[in-house]
Amino acid sequence: MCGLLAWQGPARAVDRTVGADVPKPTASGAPWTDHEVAALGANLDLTLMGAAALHGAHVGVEAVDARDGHVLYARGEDAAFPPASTLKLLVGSVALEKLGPEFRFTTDALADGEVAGGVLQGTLVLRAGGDPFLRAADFDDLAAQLAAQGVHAIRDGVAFDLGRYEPPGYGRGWAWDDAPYAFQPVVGALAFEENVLHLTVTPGTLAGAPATITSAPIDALAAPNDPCTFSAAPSVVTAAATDVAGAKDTLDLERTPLGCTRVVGSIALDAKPEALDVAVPFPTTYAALALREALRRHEITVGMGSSDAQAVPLERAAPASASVLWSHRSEPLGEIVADMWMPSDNLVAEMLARELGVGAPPAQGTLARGIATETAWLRGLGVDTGAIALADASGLSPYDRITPHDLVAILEHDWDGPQHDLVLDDLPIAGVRGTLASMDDDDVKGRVFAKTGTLTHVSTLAGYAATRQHGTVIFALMIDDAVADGDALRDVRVRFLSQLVQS
Amino acid sequence: MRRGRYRDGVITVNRIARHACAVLAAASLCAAPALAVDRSLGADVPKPQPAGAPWTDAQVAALHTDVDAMLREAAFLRGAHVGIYAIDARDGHVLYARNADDAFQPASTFKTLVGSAALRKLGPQWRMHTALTTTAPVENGRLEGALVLRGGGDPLLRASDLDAAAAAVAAAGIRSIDGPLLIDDSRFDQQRYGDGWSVDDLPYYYAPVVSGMMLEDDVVHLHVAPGPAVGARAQLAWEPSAGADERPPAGCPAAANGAHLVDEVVTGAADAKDTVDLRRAPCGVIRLSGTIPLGAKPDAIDAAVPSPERYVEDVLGAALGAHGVTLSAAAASAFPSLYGAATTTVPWPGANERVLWSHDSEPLSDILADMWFPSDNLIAETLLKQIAADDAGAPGTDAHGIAWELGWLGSLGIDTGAISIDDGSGLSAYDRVTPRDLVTILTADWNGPNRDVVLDDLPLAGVRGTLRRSFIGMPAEKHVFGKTGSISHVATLVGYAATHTHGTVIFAFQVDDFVGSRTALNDLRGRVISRFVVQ
Repeated sequence: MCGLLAWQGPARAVDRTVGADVPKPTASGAPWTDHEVAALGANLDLTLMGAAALHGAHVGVEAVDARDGHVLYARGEDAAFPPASTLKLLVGSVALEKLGPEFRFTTDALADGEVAGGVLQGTLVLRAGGDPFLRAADFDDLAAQLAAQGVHAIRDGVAFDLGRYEPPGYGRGWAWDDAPYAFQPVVGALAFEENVLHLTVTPGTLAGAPATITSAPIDALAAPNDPCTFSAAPSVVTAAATDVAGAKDTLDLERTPLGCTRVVGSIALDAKPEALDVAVPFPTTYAALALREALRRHEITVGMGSSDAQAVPLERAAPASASVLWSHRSEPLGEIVADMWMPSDNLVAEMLARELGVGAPPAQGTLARGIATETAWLRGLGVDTGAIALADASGLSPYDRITPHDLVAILEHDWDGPQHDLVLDDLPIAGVRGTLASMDDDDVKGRVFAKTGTLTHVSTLAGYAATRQHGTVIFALMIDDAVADGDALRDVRVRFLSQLVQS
Repeated sequence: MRRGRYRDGVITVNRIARHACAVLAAASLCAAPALAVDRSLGADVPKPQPAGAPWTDAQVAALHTDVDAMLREAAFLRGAHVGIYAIDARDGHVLYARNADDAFQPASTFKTLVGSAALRKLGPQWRMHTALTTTAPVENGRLEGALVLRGGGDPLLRASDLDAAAAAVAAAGIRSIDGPLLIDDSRFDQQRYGDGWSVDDLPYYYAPVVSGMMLEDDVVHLHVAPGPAVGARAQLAWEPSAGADERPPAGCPAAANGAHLVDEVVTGAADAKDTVDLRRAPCGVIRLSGTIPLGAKPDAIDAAVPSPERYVEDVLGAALGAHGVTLSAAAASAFPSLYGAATTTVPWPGANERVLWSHDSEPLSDILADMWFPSDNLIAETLLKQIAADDAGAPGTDAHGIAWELGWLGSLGIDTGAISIDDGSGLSAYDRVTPRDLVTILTADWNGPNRDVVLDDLPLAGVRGTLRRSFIGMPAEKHVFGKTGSISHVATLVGYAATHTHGTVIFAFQVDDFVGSRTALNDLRGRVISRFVVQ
């Protein structure tokens, strides 16, 4: 009955079957002798002190024996560093403990009005429940179920109840020039397609011709000469060209002050179509447009109501009396944490922090309350919380500060706690999966389960290393003020891990 | 812009500048930050001198022991990263070094770089030039064409200057203008902010838009006074005055007034907390919200305007009207939105172009005080683009300005591969430079032809600029000519310290990753620098 197929979304980046056969770090192994600890220290000193890539950089390390917390190596372990994405270890660990691995987010579609004769005499309200992975396919499912229930018209259109969390916004200190990129989405209770629009850029038929761009799950392409006046709906202007065959790909995104996105740069004539995700400035409007399209695909007439596509859509609380027409549950938190840690997903981290801040109704989930929950949890671990700074949950903020010792304390807590296996299942593995997949050097491949962090001048890594002889080492390596290029820093990380693993 | 680059951005000092205004109606009493610079302050304080006894090894060793002890005992530093480098100005002899080659976020001490580079490239007598011109004929008091305002990239242009421009138009016998009114901002490129500036800073005065056509530091001066009773709407006034906007910009709230402001401030109880704050609505309108206590003195708040070009157009239009010059309907705004930048540039000079009014800024030697005393980010960003425009022609770009700076620093012997320059002001969280590099820049100024200009233009401990309340009652008071820096977790200070017997010490004192008390840190800095001074 659908004229158009619903867009099914990109293949999920996280495949949890990858690495299932990799042996997990264990506690068994010979104890460390004083001599072995001294030798490791000498090797790590050489690695960290001698690296040209670390010239001028600020370095902090702590490495402990997982069995007893015995310190194997420490340098600047109590100095505060921007953690970058290693900060996601905190929100993930706290969420697993406070909410439990079986916790799921629920999204409901409610009828604010009577359904009579197949017509909803009012508004369809989608109550966002903090699910970070609501997809176009879910909207299609919603529309199909409504159609199956005999609904063929919604008189007053669609609206969204975002009241579970504080209003949509950014983390403190996020940069204006990162606004168009998928890694810096707007954060709120509603996350449709992770609040990004999916573009496909295809070279034109000859060098010099404009590139061709399509967008999904909704059409958001504006004319190339569009003046880009204010619009809440996503709007993409193509300013990208086709370069000669073999030329370097220079495609990039720019955000105009009014919220349009310009695709600039060039793509080679012989290049394969390239996928680019664009963070949308107004996720609620984006979701409203997609939901209306899904409903229309299922031949449900949607009245204009007050959520006209070109206006800021109505965001309002669903009345308690509204009946639930459709309900969707997310995958369990145990898997959502993998979705966060493996690719280092900022949106999931920020949403989980807000979920941690949800209090007894009507207390909204706010970042401030989530951070308060995190801080109290850290205090329980013995962390000196007066010496750290938490400004967001993803680590994207330049205002975050935490010490190597604190990160190790979080990892030790997870190692000794009931979520031990789950945490190991959810982390990237060197040479195998997640952000460490490309670290396939023989020495470390399959032996390091860790979270990475990368910001301009910042490179961090914290996790578990399975040593050859001594069981597991829990470590945090934090580098700031590194002006060297990323490849050189990567080499330092590999050498550091090799030294641990070879022990 | 670099694709997919994960990066930081910043600043938390004074989220809003609040100056108490004595009289709301007399808005001119509420000075903009840049006007607060009084160069006569400190004119009687002796400048640091090269003359003095050489340091003995024993004196340097004792200094080391004492400074090390001060830092060791400063428990509040906790996990902070500290870098210090101090040399004898005469010969570069190192007096103290700690992490001197580590890269640090310079924060606003970075403004010593762009100021020194501008002195080197442009010279102390360099001025910025703004002109109001036309190529159209005047018939019976009617200008039959466009009026062109040629922006010179001058951040110090005031509403009073535009008033003088309007007076000049009237004095030329012009009573009406067919239009349009063209704003030429082509002196600079269209990069509006430094790389990595934080989104949450953009509504505030310290993160203004940089443009080839600027006015009043690209802020509108707001004055919020409590209403007559609790619950009453607060009273809002602003300057400079702008013409009533006949056409509400697309997507903007209908309540927006001529200055594109939405006022939602209410009067609270007399003992309520002042929570007046501002943000920018998506369409560009400035929204004021919060509570002001009943009977409180008015808040003076400078709000960054989203489009300085549009702002200039509004204010010049109002000034023309005040001088009896009418703009035809066709001369109405060229900007469809409050974020508008001029999209067309007018060739210079146009055929038969006549200058109706022109304005030269004060010379660079004075502009540097305007930048360094209050730590003005807009002037710093402007100078970066001016260096570029001077070197390679308009439009001046950040990238070219940075390249010029890197070339100059390389000539001073600095390893430019080990530093990172991402803006002119130090507001970018990507900027990195070492304590030794900053001392090298200050040393170049000390040894160069502009030593007195630099010393006259820097804040002075206990006397002027951002150091006016620092080190009072300590030996360092009136003995430190320096530049401060302050962003979240970062506190920096560089400068010249006049010692009692050994001439001048050039120093950099950089702290990053700091989460403790700023009062305690400022006290520590005062004690450390005083230890140099008393020698």
